Amino acid sequence: MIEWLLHPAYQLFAAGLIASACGHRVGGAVAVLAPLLGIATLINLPEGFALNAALGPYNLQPLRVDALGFVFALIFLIATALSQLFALGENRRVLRGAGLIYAGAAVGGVLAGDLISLFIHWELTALASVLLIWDGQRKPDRAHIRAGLRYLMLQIISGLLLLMGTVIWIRNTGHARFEHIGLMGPGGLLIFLAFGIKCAFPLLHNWLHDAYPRASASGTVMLSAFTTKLAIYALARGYAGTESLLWIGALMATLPILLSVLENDLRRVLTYGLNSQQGFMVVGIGIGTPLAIDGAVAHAFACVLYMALLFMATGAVLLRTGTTRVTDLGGLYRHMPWTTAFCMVGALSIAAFPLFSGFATKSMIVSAAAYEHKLWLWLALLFASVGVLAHSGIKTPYFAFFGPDRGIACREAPLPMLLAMGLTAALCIAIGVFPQPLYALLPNTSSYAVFTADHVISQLQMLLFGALAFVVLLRLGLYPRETRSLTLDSDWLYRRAGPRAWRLVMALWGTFMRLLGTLGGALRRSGQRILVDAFSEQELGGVWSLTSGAALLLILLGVWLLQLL
Amino acid sequence: MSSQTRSRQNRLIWVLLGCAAASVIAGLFNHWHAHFAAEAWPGFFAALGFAAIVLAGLGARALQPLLRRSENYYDASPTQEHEHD
Repeated sequence: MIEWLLHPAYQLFAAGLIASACGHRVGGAVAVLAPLLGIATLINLPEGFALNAALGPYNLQPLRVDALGFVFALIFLIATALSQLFALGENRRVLRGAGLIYAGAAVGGVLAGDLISLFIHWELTALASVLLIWDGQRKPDRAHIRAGLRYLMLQIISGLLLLMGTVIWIRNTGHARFEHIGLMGPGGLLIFLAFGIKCAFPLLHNWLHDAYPRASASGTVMLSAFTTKLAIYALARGYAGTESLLWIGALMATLPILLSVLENDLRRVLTYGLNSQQGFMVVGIGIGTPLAIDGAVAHAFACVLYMALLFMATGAVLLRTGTTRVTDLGGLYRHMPWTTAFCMVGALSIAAFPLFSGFATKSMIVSAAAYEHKLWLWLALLFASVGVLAHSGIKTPYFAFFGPDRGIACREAPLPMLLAMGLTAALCIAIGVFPQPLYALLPNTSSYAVFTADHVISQLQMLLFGALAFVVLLRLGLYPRETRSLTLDSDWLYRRAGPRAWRLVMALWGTFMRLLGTLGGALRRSGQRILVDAFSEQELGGVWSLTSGAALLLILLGVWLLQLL
Repeated sequence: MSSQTRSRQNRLIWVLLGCAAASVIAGLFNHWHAHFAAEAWPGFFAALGFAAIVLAGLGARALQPLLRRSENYYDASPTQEHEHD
């Protein structure tokens, strides 16, 4: 039984229960140290190590250590430690308890060797993470609770699709192992959709922008790291080389950029950035060559860190100023110089500036698209690479820390938050300067030369001229002005269009029924008169029984005819 | 905006212009291992970068009337609509 404690996920579950029960000091220490213990355990587990359990005739494998699962578990544990350190600045039980259990569920998901264990952890991430969203306000109001419920509903639907697909898969193949599934596999489409919801595929994506920015400063940091990357892992294992992922990923990488330009809330702007980065990974998985898969995995690793860093910086701004609206912020670099510097590191990393982490990992996916000679895909990826400037590369640091000064006076972020941001920034730079250790961890161990003149010059040209275009548009007044507004997205479909359509259908149905009632009444009255005139045989039981008897006969005849069909 | 920050901004823009020009010049001297013919065109990536942001900015501007709503768009209307029912 003792070997079950070797599962890093279960260590986090236990730590979550302890940390939420304890006070700030003890609980905080447990929350930061538990993921470090998890990393030590994970590194020392031999490759191929597994824990098995039986469920009826099926063999379950709650722990399976292989190269793909290892990389994701490692980055999840690192992100847990960093985000818990950051959360010390807020001191909230829910962040420690739900945060660790959510992280544990994600680690358990990527280490699960079978679909049933994956399903259990998949649902647990949904349940634990919704607590983080509701925790965003000390007393959540109606809108907040409803947003959490919308989020939970989509996540649960994703889980149910996974469960249905799993049942079909098990019945057809006779085993529950999680390996390559493919769209044509039994239950393949259902499982694909389940992964697609969590991965934020186009039109299935809106829970991300709706819910994540409503969590607390640290809550959003935790949320940004796990759910979407768990889905990337699952796609990489189950659907590598699936052609449909190419156009899905290309749409994901490009479309959110337009919306991010219009969005006023910086944390929501960053969720569009996250969605766009997911698109790169999805494309990598869709290409499916060893280099592309490695690129997707490496990019997921880097993305967890720089997204966390950007959400930490905006979270610190939220904590100190109470807002992340572009229209309320500006000129904060005087008051929060360290946070500004760390945000710049995050921005340069996501923009894939040479020597920062995004450059070392995104280039692999773009190169893989070029090696396969897919021109349209390559151009879409380049467009998205530059578009990063619109959401995270320039917009976030510029409007929060520079830009027009709105005279906000605030203090620098608290020490634990600065420490967490500093460590995350150091990791972003380390991966950017020395990517080789990360490449060595990748499942296909691709050897990739990232610092070639071609890569560096092309990337610099794109980013510098992109920045120049940004300046030109701003100066000419052509860039959409920041206004206090919200941006409609596909959630409009189920928050507005759906209810409206439903009300319209109900109104039409009501009118139809009323019409039918009037018509029926008129028919009955005239029909009665005709029948009374024709038969007037009161002894048979009256006209009523005659007409109802005839109607019954007609219905029976109809039913009989129908069943003949 | 004070004139001091304005001049500092202008200086930054000149630095940006200088770096951008340097990157194009560096591209002219580079021997491209191109997978697509376009890669080797002088300033191809520069033009692409510039065009991408212009496209994103103007595209978003065009979408603005369609997608931008007041901040309490979702908060206000449901209760009002219920009252209509």
